[in-house]
Amino acid sequence: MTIGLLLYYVSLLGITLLLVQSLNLIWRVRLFSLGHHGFFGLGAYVAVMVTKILVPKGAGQLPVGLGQRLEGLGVVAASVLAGFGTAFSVAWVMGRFFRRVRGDYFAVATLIFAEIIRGSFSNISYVGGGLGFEAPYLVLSRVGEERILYEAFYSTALLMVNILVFAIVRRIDGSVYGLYLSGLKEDCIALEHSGVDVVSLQSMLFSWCCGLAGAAGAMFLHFTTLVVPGDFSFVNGLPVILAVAMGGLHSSGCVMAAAFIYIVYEGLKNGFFGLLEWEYAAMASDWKDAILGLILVVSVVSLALRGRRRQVVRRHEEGP
Amino acid sequence: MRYLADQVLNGLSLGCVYALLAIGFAMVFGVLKLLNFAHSEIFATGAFIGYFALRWLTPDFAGSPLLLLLAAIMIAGSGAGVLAMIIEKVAYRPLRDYRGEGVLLTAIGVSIAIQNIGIQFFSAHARGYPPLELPFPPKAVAVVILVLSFLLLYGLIHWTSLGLEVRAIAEDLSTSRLLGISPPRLVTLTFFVGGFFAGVAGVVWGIVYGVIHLQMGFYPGLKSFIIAVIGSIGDLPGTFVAGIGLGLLECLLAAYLPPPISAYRDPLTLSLLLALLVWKPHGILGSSEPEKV
Repeated sequence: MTIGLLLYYVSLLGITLLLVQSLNLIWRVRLFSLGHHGFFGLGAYVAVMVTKILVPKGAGQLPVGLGQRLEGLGVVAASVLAGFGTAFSVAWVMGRFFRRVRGDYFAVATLIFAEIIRGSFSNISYVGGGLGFEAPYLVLSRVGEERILYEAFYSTALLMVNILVFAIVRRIDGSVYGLYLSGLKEDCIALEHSGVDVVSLQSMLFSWCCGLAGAAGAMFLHFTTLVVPGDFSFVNGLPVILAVAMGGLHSSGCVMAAAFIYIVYEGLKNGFFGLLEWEYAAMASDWKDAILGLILVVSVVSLALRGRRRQVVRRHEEGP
Repeated sequence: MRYLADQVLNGLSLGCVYALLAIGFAMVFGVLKLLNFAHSEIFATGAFIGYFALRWLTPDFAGSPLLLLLAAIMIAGSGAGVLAMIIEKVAYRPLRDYRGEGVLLTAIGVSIAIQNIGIQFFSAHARGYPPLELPFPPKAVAVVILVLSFLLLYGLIHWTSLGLEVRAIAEDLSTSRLLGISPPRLVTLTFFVGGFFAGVAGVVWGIVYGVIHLQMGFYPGLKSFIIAVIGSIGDLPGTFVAGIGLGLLECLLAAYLPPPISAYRDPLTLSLLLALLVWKPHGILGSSEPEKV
């Protein structure tokens, strides 16, 4: 595997980690969202619009000179901010309206929201419709020698953002808000009775985390330079859900699980990065989603069975 | 006028499919409080079993298309019901006493696994359903089959002791246990019945639209769950009416909205369903009982 390819995968892992960290926080406040990929898509498509507005039509596909590259960086930053802001605002409104639905209903409501986003953007020709949108290279390009720099730029930027988010989450965990989060997980009603406005806490965290997913979407657009509605389908969002489910509701656990799931998933998709022979690589790629589904079932069922076994052992030890 | 009548028939047949799927969702949700995500795949599997049954049985039933259709429906329904039972035994039963999101995650995993395993064996390409020379238009036959299925299900739930037991465990599991009812047996039966009617809906989808594929269950499944909620979980007539209402609305929107807007048929109907779900999470006819702590 070349350095360029390795950095490419690191950047994609960075985007996945951003989604995983934000979804993990949402699940920790007992909001079981299945529509995180919808906010990811929303951010990406808002970035498409910002790019279309700020980059003049017919401008050169490759950035040349420092001035043009700085201008491009400005467009990327504006896209990311717009993606964050839009996803944050939509999530804030949703958080207010969705107060009445909980548990599975909330999961389905968010999933439907994500499908509405995908279905709508699939039909809007301004953002490319079903064919998708190809963004121009704005800061660096993937052409020739510059490719390594391009991959290094995005992987470093994403790594830094992830470290920042991780540090913020750890800081929240150590603060009084961390206690609120634990309280929400353990006993929501008791927390409410102790004077904490649970709904506001939930909707505020939901908005920030969805905003983060929107920012990740904008970064995804400028990194891959191509978005199609299929990128934001439920199946494509499954590795993120699986990572959060496997990592448990701990910030470090979910990051490690995300890295593991990402390596397994991308490995299956690409024949374990060239290690498998062609025919096995094709077979692994075909079976990747089925394997992902089975991992999800086996991990949850085995966790539940282990929990039940522990209960039986405890009861046996305690005696009649 | 003829155009409107055609659209109404389209809407009725689509609505009946939604309603039958929604009843399967509602039965499982009512008994286990579990959103059986794999129900969409059971529906698609039923359509595929019906496809193969029609192909294999056509030489034996030449000249009697209605009998052929009935045989295909019975085979597809039974196959889909058995698949639902297997899913319940393997994936959901170990989680019976488990609270939290894990159950829904398992359901999603089962759904993804079934769909993708199926794709490996039967490919993701759409298949044309074997044509049937029915004496009536396929959509009218579909409506009749689905209404009869609904009546059969209604009778089973409301007029038999088995149905009474199922309603009892949906109402109060612990008290039902005290009264000697065996929940595991009834839960399995509930899955079989829900799966059976999902399979029937799958065959009907095939004969009405003529094309099936393994990913066909996602949107109807999603909409059907909301229909089950809007129609008040456990209220069969409410669910049936909500399903038909959505089918009619979808077809009329697609037929009468100008072309650029009618392309947004799915986002529009999903938005409406989402609004209803948020506005009336206890169903349109349901009462908003306070949550038990």
